[in-house]
Amino acid sequence: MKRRSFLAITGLAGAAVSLSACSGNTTNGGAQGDITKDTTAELTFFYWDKVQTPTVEANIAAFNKEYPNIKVSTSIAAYKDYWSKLRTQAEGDQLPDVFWMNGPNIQLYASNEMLAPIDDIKDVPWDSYPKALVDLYTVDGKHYGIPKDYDTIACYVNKTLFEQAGVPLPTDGWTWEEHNDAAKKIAATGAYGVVTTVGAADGQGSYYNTMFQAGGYVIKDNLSGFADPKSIKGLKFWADLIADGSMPSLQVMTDTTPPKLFAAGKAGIYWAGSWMVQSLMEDLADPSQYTVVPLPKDEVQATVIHGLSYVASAKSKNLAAAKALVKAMTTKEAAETEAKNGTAIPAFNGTQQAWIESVPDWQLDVFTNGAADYSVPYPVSKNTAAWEDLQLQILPDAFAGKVAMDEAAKKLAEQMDALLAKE
Amino acid sequence: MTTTTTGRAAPTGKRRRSPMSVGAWPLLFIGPLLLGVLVFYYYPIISNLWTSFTATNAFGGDPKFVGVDNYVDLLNRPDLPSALVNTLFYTAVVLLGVPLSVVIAAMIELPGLKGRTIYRVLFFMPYLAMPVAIAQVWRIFFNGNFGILNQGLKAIGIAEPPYWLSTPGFAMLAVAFFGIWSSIGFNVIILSAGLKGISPELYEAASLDGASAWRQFRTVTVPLLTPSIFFLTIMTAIGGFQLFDGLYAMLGPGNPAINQSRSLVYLFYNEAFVQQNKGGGAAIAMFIVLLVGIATAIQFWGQKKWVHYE
Amino acid sequence: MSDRKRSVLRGQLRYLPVHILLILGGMVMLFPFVWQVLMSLSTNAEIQSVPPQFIPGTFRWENYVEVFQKLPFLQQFGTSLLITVARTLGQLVFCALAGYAFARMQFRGRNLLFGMLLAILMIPGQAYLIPQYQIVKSFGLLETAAGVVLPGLFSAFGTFLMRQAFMSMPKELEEAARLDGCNPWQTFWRVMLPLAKPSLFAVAIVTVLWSWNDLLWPLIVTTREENMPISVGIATLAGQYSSDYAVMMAASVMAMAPIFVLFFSMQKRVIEGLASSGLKG
Repeated sequence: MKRRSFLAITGLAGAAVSLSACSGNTTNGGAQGDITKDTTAELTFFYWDKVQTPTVEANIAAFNKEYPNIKVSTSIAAYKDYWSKLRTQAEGDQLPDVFWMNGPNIQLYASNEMLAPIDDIKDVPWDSYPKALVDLYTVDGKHYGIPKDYDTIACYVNKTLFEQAGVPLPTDGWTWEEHNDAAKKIAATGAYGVVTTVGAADGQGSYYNTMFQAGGYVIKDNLSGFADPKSIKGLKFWADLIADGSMPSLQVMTDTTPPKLFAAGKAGIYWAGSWMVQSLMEDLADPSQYTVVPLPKDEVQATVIHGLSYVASAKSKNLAAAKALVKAMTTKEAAETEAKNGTAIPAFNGTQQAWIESVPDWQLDVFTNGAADYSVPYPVSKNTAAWEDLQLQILPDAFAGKVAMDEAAKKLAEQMDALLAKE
Repeated sequence: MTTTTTGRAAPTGKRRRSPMSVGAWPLLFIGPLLLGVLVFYYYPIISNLWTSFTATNAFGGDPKFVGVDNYVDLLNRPDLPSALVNTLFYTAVVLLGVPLSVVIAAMIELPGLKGRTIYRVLFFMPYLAMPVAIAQVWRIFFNGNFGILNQGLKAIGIAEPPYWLSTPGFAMLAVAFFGIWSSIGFNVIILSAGLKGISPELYEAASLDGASAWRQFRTVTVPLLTPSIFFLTIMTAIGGFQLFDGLYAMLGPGNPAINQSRSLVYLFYNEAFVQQNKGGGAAIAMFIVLLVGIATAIQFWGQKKWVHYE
Repeated sequence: MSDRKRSVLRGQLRYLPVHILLILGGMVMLFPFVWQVLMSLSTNAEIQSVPPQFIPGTFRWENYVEVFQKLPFLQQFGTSLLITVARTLGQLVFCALAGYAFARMQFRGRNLLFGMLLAILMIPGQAYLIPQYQIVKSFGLLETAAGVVLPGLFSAFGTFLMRQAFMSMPKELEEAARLDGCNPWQTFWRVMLPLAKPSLFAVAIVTVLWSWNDLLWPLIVTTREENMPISVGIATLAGQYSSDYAVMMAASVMAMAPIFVLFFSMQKRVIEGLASSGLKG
């Protein structure tokens, strides 16, 4: 992995754990050796994406081939309800044995002893997953989750609009200047140059990337990076696009979401994650008129990487069985099943090909190459949601040009530091 | 909490006890409800009250007593005034739905009006709605780029109609409109039930006296409906103070206008479930109870002046 | 045209402005539903299109078939039915009894108790969530219909409504009943409750609808698809990044239809209930 050194230093900065399962002395709830194919147990498993039900069921069936007497019952909620439900279960000592976890919540759950450390699971090929994700789910030097899938960000482009504006299609290594020039020329033809979820304060899909590209950072050593001049440059990128008309106002993009504007053929460039591939394929009238290109670079190339993992509850009554399930759901075979489903990029190295080939025209390897070559971990802390909410409160007005970005960024940094200090 | 005061035939000496309050009768009537309320509502309220004086970890564990710190923090919040104003504004607008409903219900129940069934069903429809699905429809209606509303406004010559859902202020209006639309059906059904209790002879007598329809409405319908109107006013006000679901469904997460549209319950939700500050959230919840309690008490005190029972 | 018809028409002409106002208002009430039905017959692309397309190109009845593939619809529907019936019956019993006592009985602490009852409406629903969850869990009722039903049996709202209804009834009736030697229970059961029929129906209708559409609490209590009521089932259809709105709308329409029919027939019952209540002025 070619990874710039400063990118490795993030809020996660978990002491990199040596890759062999190293916890000699933690044997809570029995090591894996305790379960055999005759083990009888009941496990509950909780996840949030109905689209992925076939994958989940196929992988549980594979698990049951090995352990026929471990019954896994699944439950499901929509993403927006998942976290409130999980929290209620956590407070009521009713956490499911195994469930999906994401970056913003991992430290919250792990540091409050809701999750079981899983260093004692034997033979987990930790170096077969993107390091950024393994680190993301490492808290205080202990592994808590095995990566399931990942996503990175790229630019979806409308070839027709580029042609009409007389702009060449972007290539790998294109710069901010080229991006802005293209956006401006497309806007001059009456379409929108570029659309993003910047107004929803969705840093992952927009400004986190530009902050990293400009050489800035979001959080480091539990301190906010928003006031860093380079970070501010990355934020201003968006305010400038709105100011010069290359990007529609936040209101336009709030009332009709960017993917809808893009799918309707009204926007030249759309910054978004790999998770949009499937739904765009369904919504676009003629997918061959579109393609995917890497994000433009400034000082460096960068794209935010994030992914889900499987975790086990610390209070599971069948912890050994739960850990076996976590492992079974993240094996190479499970990842291959995942790849066929096509919803997300499987995290296990070498299984992504099926996903890449799901849309041959689009060169989806842009997403996987980005992950391998220049990805930056999704920035998190113990209570990520708290300062993400601050961003929604402070940044939109600055993107819209109502307040100066420098002031907004400094104010955000101050308030964010206050929250981080409380953690 | 002393619940033993219910109906233990305590000799009061002062008041002549009517046979209706003798012995255990009141307790028999109220007991079942009281038991359930104590277990399922009072225990949570008490535990919430206790939490508001503590600082806990993100999952409510390790409570430490911190006195009134959470309340002090709440009163020092810079966003409290705007949340208060938003909540009061919304409540005021939704309360306008009550007189509107009285007029509609009175029209529907006019003696001899044909098509009453259809009208009743029509006006009650919104109450049948699954809020999530129907808010989606209203969002499309209010959409600033392509919504029917703005297309209509453009057609009558307003060049730049507002972005209803993403402009602070207008967003509150759209949410309040949705609130009124959702509650009218409920109001009409309650008022219809109230109107059923008014005997036709009263209207006949009034028309023999030569009272116009409007006069009958003012002197017969409204006064006799006051118990129902009072009930609706209280309920609507309480509901208005609880504004959260409609706000969330109409504006959705990630809407820049939501910053200036936060309601008190939104603050509570945010504090307890986003900031993971259980104690702070509980303090906001208790603050809301206090506020609504005062507002409701004032209304009960004021009812003597305008509510006529029988 | 017969004379009778003509006189009816003349009678309605007098009400012409009223009809016009009610029809206009009714349109505002109705149009989102018409739209919802149209959406349920569109493709997802049509719903998502910019600008939105109101009339689907062809009616896509498959959306309704798809609901059954994506959800155990009938099972969840049955759960909803069970939960709703139980809650409604329970509320009617508890609220009528307590409402009557609050309206017509003198006892110490009455107003205080009533105020405490109303206070439970003043606290945001989310604040109850976790404590109630823990209580239901300690009863061992998670994942059960009983667990969903229990807290909703006790309603301050219904009690308040019944109290208002009983308060607005003539006192003479009770006096008469008492002179006939009825005890409070007989007075309530034979004399007052029949008079309160319209309000009982109002409480029933409101409770049915609230219970049918209730989302927050059942969402927390039930986690497995086979135990969920339909409102929660529909909520699981929302995707993280994109949703199949067409199928969601179809599911919502199907979930709403029986309630609609029920209300249509119930509101007639309200009138009948009144006609038989013996209160003819």
